Amino acid sequence: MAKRVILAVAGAGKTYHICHEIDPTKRNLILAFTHENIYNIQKELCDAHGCVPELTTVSTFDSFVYHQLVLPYEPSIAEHFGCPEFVSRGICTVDPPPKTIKNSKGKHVANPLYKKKDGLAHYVTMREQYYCATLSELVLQVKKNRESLIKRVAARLKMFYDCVLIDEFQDFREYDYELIMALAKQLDDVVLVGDYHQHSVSATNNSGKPFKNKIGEVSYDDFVTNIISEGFTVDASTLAKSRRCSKDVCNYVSQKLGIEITSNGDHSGAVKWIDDNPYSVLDDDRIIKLVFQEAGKYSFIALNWSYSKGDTFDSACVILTDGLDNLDSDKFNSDRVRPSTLNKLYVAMTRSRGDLYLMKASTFKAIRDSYIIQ
Amino acid sequence: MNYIKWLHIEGFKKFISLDVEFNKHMNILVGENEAGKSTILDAIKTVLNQQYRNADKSILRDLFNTQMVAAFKAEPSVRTLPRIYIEVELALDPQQKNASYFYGEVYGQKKQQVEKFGIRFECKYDEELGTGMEQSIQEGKIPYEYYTLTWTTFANRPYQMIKRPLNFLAIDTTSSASAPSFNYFNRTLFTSRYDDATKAKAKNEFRDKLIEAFDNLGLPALSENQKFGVDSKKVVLETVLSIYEDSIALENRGSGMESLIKTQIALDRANGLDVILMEEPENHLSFSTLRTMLQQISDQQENSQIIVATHNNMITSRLNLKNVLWITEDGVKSLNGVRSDVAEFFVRADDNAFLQLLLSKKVILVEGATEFLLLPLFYKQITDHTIEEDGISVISCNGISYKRYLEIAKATNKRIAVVTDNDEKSDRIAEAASFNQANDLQHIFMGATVDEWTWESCIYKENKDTLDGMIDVQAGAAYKFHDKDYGAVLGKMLNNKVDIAYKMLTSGKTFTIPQYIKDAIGWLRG
Repeated sequence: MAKRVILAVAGAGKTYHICHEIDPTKRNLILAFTHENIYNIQKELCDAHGCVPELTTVSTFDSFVYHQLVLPYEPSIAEHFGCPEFVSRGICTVDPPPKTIKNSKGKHVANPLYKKKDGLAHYVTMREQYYCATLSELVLQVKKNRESLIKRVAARLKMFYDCVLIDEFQDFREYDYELIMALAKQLDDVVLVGDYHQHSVSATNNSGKPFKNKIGEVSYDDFVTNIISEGFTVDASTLAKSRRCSKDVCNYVSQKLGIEITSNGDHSGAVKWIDDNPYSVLDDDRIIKLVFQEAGKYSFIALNWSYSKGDTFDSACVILTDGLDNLDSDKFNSDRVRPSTLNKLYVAMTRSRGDLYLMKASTFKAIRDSYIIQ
Repeated sequence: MNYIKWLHIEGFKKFISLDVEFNKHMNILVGENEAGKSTILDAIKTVLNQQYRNADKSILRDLFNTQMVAAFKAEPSVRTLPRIYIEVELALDPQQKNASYFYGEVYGQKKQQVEKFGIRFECKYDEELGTGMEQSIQEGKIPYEYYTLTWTTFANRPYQMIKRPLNFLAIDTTSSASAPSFNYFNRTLFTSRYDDATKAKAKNEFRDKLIEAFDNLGLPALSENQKFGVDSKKVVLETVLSIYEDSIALENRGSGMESLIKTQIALDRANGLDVILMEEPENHLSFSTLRTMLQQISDQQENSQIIVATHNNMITSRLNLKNVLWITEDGVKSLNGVRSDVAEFFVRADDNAFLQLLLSKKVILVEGATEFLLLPLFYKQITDHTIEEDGISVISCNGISYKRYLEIAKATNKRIAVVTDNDEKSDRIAEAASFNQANDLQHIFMGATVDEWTWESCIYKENKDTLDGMIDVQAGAAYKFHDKDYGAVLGKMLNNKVDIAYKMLTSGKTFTIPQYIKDAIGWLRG
């Protein structure tokens, strides 16, 4: 019974840990950001317990908010916004109109289509579908009389679940993050598992809390301090060693990117610059190529850095971007790299359970055309 | 324990609006014919079993409330089209799988919006579907085909029986089509008895073995590339199952035994049923079999929730009057306010007229058979109406103290006249007078003096000549009653109460009616 944050390094086995740590006789609610995460969790649960334990629920965060926190409380939501007749008709994955838009001169101006957050239209389309993007904001917004919906949904979670676990929690930003913190305040048993350094890697929702504030980026230490002030204990040791990456790879990542990661050291794997002989790797289908973007346009097997999050490969080749050409130099300073780019690079460099190949952008550019699918 | 807490009905069959709160264990639905007992059971089945889901929409003609249909015809518009809304509130264990699927705020007219477990059923005209129907609706036609039936949990999720919140079985003995009712019974029991994995394994193995067995028959092929094979869609284990007891299939027992065994199986906790509905279990049962069944039910009623609809006095009293839900014109009344000792008394007194008391508008409670025979005659003589015409029942207490009946009747707001004897005790006369002072709806009538101590003595006093002429007495015989001499004719009347009453009834003579009986009839009609 506690509120815990387990900070993990890449390849430490977050999902493995969650799935093996749960008590299968308890009512567990496991939440994650993407369907891919969900699939991995289900697979891991089956490995650990033979099947998904009967009383364990696995769900994406959005589906959880929609089904458990919004739909059952629609009468209160309707009442809160003064639309007692409102009955929703499902959900919409298209984003609501943004607050500001760029005009023809490239200047940000107020968007006439934007709906204020104190009205139902901020959360619901003209066709009475909830915007997926504002679900958490909606839950935070609604009050009935003076009681917040948060308090009631927290009581609901307490009633139906013994333990709430959230995987990849560094992916939850802004209102999602606020909602998790607000709920956690009222719950007894919450475990958040994630990797600070993998934040801002997913393609969407890379702004704001908890990794940015008014001043700028929130450092690892400040982030930990904030989490502690929210009433969590921080466990940075349980998942501190990478099961995936070798000692050499971990050392190289720590040294170059300034992100602390150590290996459990049970297998080998070297870091190899291949600018002298790029073809041997590019033509080898056993080595996955990780490019910054547009992986689909190449004839070799490739994946974008950010999409590779959560994956494990036998060996991987990271093709660097322009700004990173001096990564091999002693003068390379990771502080000069934008945090979101740095985190994506960290993800890409920690995918291989064997050798890690690195290729400079300049090398790749020279031969790129022959690999582009026409 | 999982059970049905509350039922709310709008516009379904005979109910424009009805609310029923159920007891956790035993519920006995009683009411006049057509009062809506079956409709209540039907409403529950409609929601939980998704009855009518695949039925042709023409069934809606029978399901809509006729008053709502009439209101629509009087003022036809999309807004006034009849609709059906049924809500079943459940008590569920939050520890069980899927419980949260049923938990959320309640919709409907009721303003309070706290979270509850439940399922709602809605049958309403779909305006989107029915675009273009406006004209014919204006003309007063109900567009049945454009109605949609939806089942939603209180968490606003679609309800599918596969995610059933509780194990629910309806035992129906009224239906003459026994084959479908058996399939339903067997299937429900199979579903509730075994866990999902066991069921899946049994079904798969059964299918595989059957296909294998067929292939092993080695039937000659139809042609080079055509042969018979078993269609696995048609091989569904539940549809071929029967329950065997001592190797006799349940459907091959007599219908009485069939009901008994079904009930017994349903009540067994091991079979995991949470809620059991029984419609008129008295059907096909002999007195003694019914008794056995009632014993089983009352022994095991703590295991589950039982909802029984019945016309039978023995069922109602044996299963305890406090559990009665009485369906009246003004809604459903619970009799759980009846004093426990009174209810307990009726549990043991099989031969009682409790239901009759409950179901009559006005009641005259009398001591025994004599009054029972003659009161209707006197009533007709005074009022020129029959008691049936005025909705009055004469109930003979047959040795049960009328006070016990009055105790039950308190809960019912019924006008009840008690016609009784003072047995030569003046304190009884005083007691009755003060009772009548204190009670508006219940009055006690008896002879005004200790000389008018019993029915016979009062009748004899008023009709001495007529009765002396009608009743033969032997000279010299004593005709003592309880060792006391009341004179020969009255003595004979007291000793042969029913015979004399019958003789009076069939004599065609007109009798002078004692004052207290006139008073009783007059008060009851007042």
